[in-house]
Amino acid sequence: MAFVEFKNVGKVYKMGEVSINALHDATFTIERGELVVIVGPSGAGKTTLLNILGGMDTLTSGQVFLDGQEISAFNKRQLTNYRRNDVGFVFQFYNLIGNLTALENVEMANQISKAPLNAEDVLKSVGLEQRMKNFPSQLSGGEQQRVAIARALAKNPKLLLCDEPTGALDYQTGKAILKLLQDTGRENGMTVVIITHNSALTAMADRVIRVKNGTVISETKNPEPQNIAEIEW
Amino acid sequence: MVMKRNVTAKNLRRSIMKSLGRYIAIVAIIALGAGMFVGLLSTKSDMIATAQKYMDEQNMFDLRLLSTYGWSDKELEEIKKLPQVQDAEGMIELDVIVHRDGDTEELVYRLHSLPQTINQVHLLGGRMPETPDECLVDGFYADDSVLGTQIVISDVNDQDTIDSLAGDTLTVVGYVSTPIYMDMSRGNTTIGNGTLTSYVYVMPEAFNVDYYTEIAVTIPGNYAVYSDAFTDAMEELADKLEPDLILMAKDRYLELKNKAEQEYADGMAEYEQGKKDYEEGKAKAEKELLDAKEELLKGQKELNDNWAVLIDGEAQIQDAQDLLNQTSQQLTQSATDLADAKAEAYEQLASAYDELMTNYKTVTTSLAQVQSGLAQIDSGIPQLEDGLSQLESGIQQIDLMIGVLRTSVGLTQSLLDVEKNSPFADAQRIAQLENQLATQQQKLDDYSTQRQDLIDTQATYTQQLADLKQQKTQLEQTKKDLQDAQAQIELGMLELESSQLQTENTFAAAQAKLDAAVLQLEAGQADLDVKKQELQSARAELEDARKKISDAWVEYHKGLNQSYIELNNALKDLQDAKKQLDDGKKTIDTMEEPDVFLLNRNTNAGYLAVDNNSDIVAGVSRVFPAFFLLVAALVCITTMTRMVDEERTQIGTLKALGYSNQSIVNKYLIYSGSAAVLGCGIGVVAGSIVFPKILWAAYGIILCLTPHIELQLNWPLCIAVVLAYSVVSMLVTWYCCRRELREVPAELIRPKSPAAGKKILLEYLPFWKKISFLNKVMFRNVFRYRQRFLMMLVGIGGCTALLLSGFGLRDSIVDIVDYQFAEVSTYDMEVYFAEGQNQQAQESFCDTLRSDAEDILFYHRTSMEMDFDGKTKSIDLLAAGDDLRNYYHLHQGKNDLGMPGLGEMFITIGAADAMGLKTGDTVVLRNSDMQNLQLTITGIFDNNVNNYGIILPQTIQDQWGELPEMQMALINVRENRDIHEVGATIAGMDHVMNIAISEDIANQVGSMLDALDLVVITVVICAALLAIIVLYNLTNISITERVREIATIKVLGFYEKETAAYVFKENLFLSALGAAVGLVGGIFLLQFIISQIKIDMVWLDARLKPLSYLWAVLLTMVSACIVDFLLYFKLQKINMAEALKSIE
Repeated sequence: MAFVEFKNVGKVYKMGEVSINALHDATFTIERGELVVIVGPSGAGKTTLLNILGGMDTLTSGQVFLDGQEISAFNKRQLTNYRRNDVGFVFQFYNLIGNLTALENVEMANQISKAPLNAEDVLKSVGLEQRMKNFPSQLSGGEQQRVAIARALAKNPKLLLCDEPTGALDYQTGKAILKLLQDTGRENGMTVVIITHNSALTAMADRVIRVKNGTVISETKNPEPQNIAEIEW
Repeated sequence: MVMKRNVTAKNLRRSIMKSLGRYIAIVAIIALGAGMFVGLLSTKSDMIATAQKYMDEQNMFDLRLLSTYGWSDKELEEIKKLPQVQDAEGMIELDVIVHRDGDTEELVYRLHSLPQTINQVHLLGGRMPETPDECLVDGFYADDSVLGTQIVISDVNDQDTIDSLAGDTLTVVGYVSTPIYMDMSRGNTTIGNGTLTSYVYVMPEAFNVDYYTEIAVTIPGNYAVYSDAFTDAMEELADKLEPDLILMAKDRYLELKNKAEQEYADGMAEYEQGKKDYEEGKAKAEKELLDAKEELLKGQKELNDNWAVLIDGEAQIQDAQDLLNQTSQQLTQSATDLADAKAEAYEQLASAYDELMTNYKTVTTSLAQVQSGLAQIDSGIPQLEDGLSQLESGIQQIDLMIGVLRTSVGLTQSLLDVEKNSPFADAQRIAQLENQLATQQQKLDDYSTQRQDLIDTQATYTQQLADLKQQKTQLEQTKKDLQDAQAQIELGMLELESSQLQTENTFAAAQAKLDAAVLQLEAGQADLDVKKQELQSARAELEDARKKISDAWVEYHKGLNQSYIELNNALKDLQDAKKQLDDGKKTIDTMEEPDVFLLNRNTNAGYLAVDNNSDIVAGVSRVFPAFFLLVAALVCITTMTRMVDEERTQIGTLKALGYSNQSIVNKYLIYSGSAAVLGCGIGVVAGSIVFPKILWAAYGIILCLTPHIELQLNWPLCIAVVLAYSVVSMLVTWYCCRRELREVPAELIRPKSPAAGKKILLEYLPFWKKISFLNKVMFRNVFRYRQRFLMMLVGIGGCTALLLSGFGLRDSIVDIVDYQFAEVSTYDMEVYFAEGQNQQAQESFCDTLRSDAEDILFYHRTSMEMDFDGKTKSIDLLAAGDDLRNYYHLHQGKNDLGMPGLGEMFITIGAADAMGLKTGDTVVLRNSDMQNLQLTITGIFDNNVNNYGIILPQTIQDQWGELPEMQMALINVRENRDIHEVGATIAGMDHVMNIAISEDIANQVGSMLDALDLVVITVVICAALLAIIVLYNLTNISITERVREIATIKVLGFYEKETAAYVFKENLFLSALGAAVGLVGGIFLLQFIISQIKIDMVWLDARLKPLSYLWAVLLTMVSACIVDFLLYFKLQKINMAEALKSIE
């Protein structure tokens, strides 16, 4: 069985009398240790998909499995535990707690998870050995995103979910972050899912899932993913 | 343009709807602040307006005109005619001691004549009096239950007072309020304990006087009460009237004096006449008495003479009686003797007869016996002769027989011998013959014996016969004798009968003689009895006469005494009359020129009390609402600032789209402006209605006007508040917007660079590392955002301070009486006597209570007006010796003051403060008789209730020439005695008018202070409400600001409780910190408020009980918890997807 499995997932938002069909018949699988890029234009349903996969939202129809557990059947508490222990998030806008230092931000996350990694080690591994005592406002965007990645990694999650991780960064910094994600995945055998609208990034993925008009239109395996340094966009 | 405006309007509406909680919170804070501000401020003016309306409607006096000799109709008419006077009315008032039916407690009431136009009463219940014995009572102390009860004029009132009233019992038919008693004080009097208890209105006909005690005057023109213009007008009129009044009073004085002199002259004439009458009467009476005495003496003599005659007659009668008695005795003796003799004679006759009869009987018997003996003898003799002949024949036969036998014996003997000799003698035949021989021998012996016997018997018979023949001879002799005796006895009988006859005749003659004598005696006795009867009736008559005479004497002496007494009384009356006349003369001679007093409304305690009490509200409203408004304003300003900050990107976008600054700013101006207008609008209207109503209800406890307050919407104030608030709010908003708009759109669109993260001071402390991340975040959040921190501190601290000062106000006020009695006036009870107690009375009082009272102090107490620096204040003056320190603890802070010296006075801090007195100042005290005391203040002592001064009795003696009368006493009850029982004992003692037990007073006054309690409760409730709204608003804002952060930690997998703790920990910490700050602020706020509250009679200290701190903090924290609870749901609703959104 695949590590992650989406089976005919549908999501309808009801706002008063209006129903918005955000996702329908989304079906795909992800294998353990893969770097997956989910790509599609704005409004295609990427974020909905991410919300459901990340346990931040429930679905309307279909099933979602992760590592043999049916996430779609979880209640609120189970979903919170799932987020707490199994998923690491990297946000487009980093979402660091402004009043905690880089180290503290990481520590705060690993404080709540079951089998955390050492916060300082993780920060070292993302190259922030010198900036650990700094507050987010004292860090550049790239550094902040590294802290965010460190925060996600420190929880030692089964799945690392990244929502447009380079969206707020300049090209070079973005590349560096992507490299960090690719390397981390490869080194730790971690399953990394990157959601982006940038098709160029598909080249670096082990698996590419294309989303359009609220459904998965293709799921392709990349036999030879490229190194991020080689990709240009 | 239309389009644009529509979009702007839509945008505004959405802004409001999106954060409806915030908008409502702002509106509510503003409403509360503005409402309290306007409400409390307008309460003062509403109270004044109510008072003004009430005084106008009841046509309250502007001036009271008093003169020492009162006024008559003449003066009243003259005053009415004065051009400066609008109206004038004569009033009668009289202070009397009364008791309510069924109650023995004596109270001092002031009786007023029911006015027609000025000082009209306001009927609160019942009806107006229709007859002079009906009355209206003080509505402050009455309800419907008082109707129909009776007020009895006590007979301890002096005669003048009793004479001044038509009746002595009044029936209550209604209860009223009156503009002259608008507060609880009822004024002073010169009778009883010097304090009026209550007032009563009766019809003028109920008074029996021909003068008015005062004339009430109104002035033309509409003046605002308590205004300087009004005071000036009243004083101006007083100045104008005074010379006229003095003249009128002088006229009246002269008139009265003349009248009095005339009366004196008449009196003198009457007295002289009386004296003459007396002398004449005396002479006449004496003569009459003398005549009576002579007549009596004459009667007495006559009686004595008659008496002697009577005694004489009685003696004669007695002699006659004695004689009679003697005769009677003799007769009785004779009768007895006669009877004895008679009895004896008869007895002798009877015994002689008896003897004769006995003899006769004996003779007769003997005769019979003799005759029977003779008969026997006669029959015996032949028998014996017979016998003898028989005996002789017998003897012959026997002799024959004997001869036969002897032959037979001889034959037999022969045969026998034959036989015997015969040799054939047969033996048998011999035995037979022997036997036959023995038998024949035997028979021969028997016949010989028989023959002997017969010979003996023959001898006996012969003897007997001889005897019988002799006996017969004797008996015949006896018979002859007996027959002789019988004849002799019969002869004796005849003799006896003749002797009896003779005796009877003798006795009958003697008896007849005796009977005649007895008859004679009885006739004599009857005669004597008649005479005796006559004498007895004569004696009775005389005794009667004697009694009459002696009664007449008693009568005479009584008459004598009576006339002496009457004469003496008449003389005494004459002397009294003379003395009265002399006194009257003296009074006339010493009649002083009249004093005239013109008192304006400012001398009326109730008039001032309304103003004073409205000032209390004003005092509270000076501080509280301003503080309230400040907190509210601060909260609103922050809210707006942060709202503008929040919508920064939106502003940038709009600006980038080409909207003018003005149109962007307009949204926020309208947002804050509409909130301000709405909040203020609701606040001022609701506040103007609610607060005055609550406070007026509270003041109903100490003021007595009308139950309905005159609600006035103070338009200028309302509009000013709405305008000021809106303008300030909009200005602040505009300032915030300007700050943002100064930046270029590009900057605005980008998120504001986050505040530089930096270490806070706490981090340098060693324990920082041990603090959990959540707490670290909290501390950093708390201390790094100074504006928010200060906002929370001021907002929450302000609420806590308000709560604390509210509770503190309660602490300071509610138990004030307990403080008073525990810390200052420590005595157990106060006793009011009906009059001053002299040394002897004091000692006897103390003796009676020796076992109940620990110690007793007599002192003088009176109510005085104190003048200083143009101000007048009514205070109680206590004149007592040094021992007062056992009953009053006079201290200033911790400094014991001891007792004042001669000419010095200690005064309560409340009075000193109200008058602006300092130690060393000299004041003048005057009583209702206008006597003055000049005193130097040498001590100002802490005291909570009542205003009084303390001096030595010698001070009064020094200035007035005599010691004041000690009509009061303070008592400390022995420890093991029940205060109320001792109180009851004392209340029942002579001269005791009533008693005041400190414990009871504490309870009474305590309930009086409930008025302020309600104010405090209002404040506390408002403060608690404010605390909740402020906290809600601030927390709401801080949540709104941190939605991203909260969404992020939710995404990171924080549980709901962890998320809530993350947010609310900070909130609770700030609340706690704010509460701590608020406690400190509250202490100062309380002190400030207390210093702003000036209440007549009561002096407040800022006091706080530990429980009040606890409550203030607890309420703040509870408010915080309530707010957190409400916002917990808001937290739950925060969508995690927010974390994914870009920063707006």
